[in-house]
Amino acid sequence: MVDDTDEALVTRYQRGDVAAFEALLDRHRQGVFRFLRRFVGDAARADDLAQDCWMRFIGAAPRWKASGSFKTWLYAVARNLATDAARRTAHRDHEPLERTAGRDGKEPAAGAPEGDVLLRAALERAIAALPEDQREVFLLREYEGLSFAEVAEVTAALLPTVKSRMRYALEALRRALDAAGEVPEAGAHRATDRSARP
Amino acid sequence: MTHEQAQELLLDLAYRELEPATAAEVARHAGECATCGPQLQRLTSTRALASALRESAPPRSNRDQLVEAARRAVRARPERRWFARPATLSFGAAAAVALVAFGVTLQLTRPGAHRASDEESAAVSRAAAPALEPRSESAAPAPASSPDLPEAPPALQTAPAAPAPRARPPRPLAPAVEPPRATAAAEPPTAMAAPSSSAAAPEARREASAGPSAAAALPAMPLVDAQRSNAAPTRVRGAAKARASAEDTTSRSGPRAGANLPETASFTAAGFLYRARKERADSGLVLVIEKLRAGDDPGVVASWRADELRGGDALVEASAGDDLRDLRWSDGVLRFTFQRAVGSLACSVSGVESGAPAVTCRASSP
Repeated sequence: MVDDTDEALVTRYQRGDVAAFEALLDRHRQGVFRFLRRFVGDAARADDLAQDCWMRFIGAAPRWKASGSFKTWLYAVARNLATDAARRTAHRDHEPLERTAGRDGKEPAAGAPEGDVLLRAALERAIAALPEDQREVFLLREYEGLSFAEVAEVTAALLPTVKSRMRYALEALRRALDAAGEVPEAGAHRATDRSARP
Repeated sequence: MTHEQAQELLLDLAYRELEPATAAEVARHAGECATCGPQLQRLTSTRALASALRESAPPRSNRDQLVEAARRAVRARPERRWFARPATLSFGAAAAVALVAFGVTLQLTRPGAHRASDEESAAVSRAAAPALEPRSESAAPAPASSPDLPEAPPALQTAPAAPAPRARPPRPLAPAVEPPRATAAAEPPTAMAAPSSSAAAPEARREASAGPSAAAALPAMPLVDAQRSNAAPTRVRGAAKARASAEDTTSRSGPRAGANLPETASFTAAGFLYRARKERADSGLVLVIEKLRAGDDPGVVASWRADELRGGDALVEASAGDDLRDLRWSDGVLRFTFQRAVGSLACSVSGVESGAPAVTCRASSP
């Protein structure tokens, strides 16, 4: 089961194998939630949207045809749900990110370096401030591990457009972190470990 | 490798998307270039900073709920109708060919019986026709002959239904779990239509000249976006076998399908009745698209909770097995077309934003 492709698992679930659904869920639940949380900036809303996303898969599973990538389909659904939700609630005032940072379902671990906490908060703010089209590209590529081609598929954009948005996003983040004093001087390095990739 | 070529690939190099040989070439250039070197360093260091974000774990209870929902959906899946099974269709086609061949053989081996065997063959072909209805039109978009839905008379307006509860926590999963079922369901199935037109429009505008839409990207469960919704329909060819009963509110209801709400619209084609019907469920108003054959249970093609139906960027599940060829929004009308029937059902949904959705449907056929 662990080695099965997503598409093979979908086929098994179509035949009634709920364990295959569980495997899919375990494989992608965290990624979908993480993407949604960072996209909409609110853990509770992301939780709702992630649930919607999986419910849509459950409803659509009998008609699934393994001619495309399950992962890009799933993230396309998540992205559309998030985009819609973001527009519906655009008029609402959001809680300042300073207060939501570190509240994404997990408090900062005890003993976490203070610098890391500050950097995470600055990152959250910077990501939330990105234009939506740059934010989704950045999140999908940087944190969810989709290739640029897959991101293009999910967002229905051309590959050069996706790369261009990614460059803009990275530049904007860099500037925001620099303004927040979170970019180390050239040649220096923060005390915290940045080698671990999510 | 030129400077311009290398510069284009710096991002790919930073994200390790290049073949090893190309990556080495770009890295070599970056090491020697006063422009590309700092750019690459900037990209990689920004990535390193971005890695500081912590994982966000969704609650465990959510997982258990979803697994239970998946289990219930499997249990509740309807048996596919014999006429919808590809294997049955293949078998039926083979059997019909064999019968026709047998008839031809008889015709050839029975001098003087030409007229009789002709009739036998024709009868066999007619008998097999419903199951063998060709799908050659399946590639065609929605019929051009289907008129846009006009304002429905007051009698057809369904009374506003109570909006589905969206309170949290805990968020009830049960009403949205059941897939389309063969009988009138008290619990609506999960809807595939999600994001609204407002969500799709800006992206569609941005990418209008920029390439494939999400619909093209998702072949099995296409996204119907604004681009696709506005696509010009093409003419449907073939004999018009359907008879429409537009805006039908009479008592013609299918066996065991009659909910308390009136049937909204239907047409017949190839021996089947295609029908749009409304149901009331605990969670609100439900639109059911189904096809029936005389004396048979209705086969639900698809159904949606009305408060989840919105125009535009609707995520659509279409199934050849269930005979639903296409579903698209256009000017606020949701139009269903079918693989094996010339004709369509068109439904307009209003009042969703106000929490009091109403559905109006009409059938059309050439």
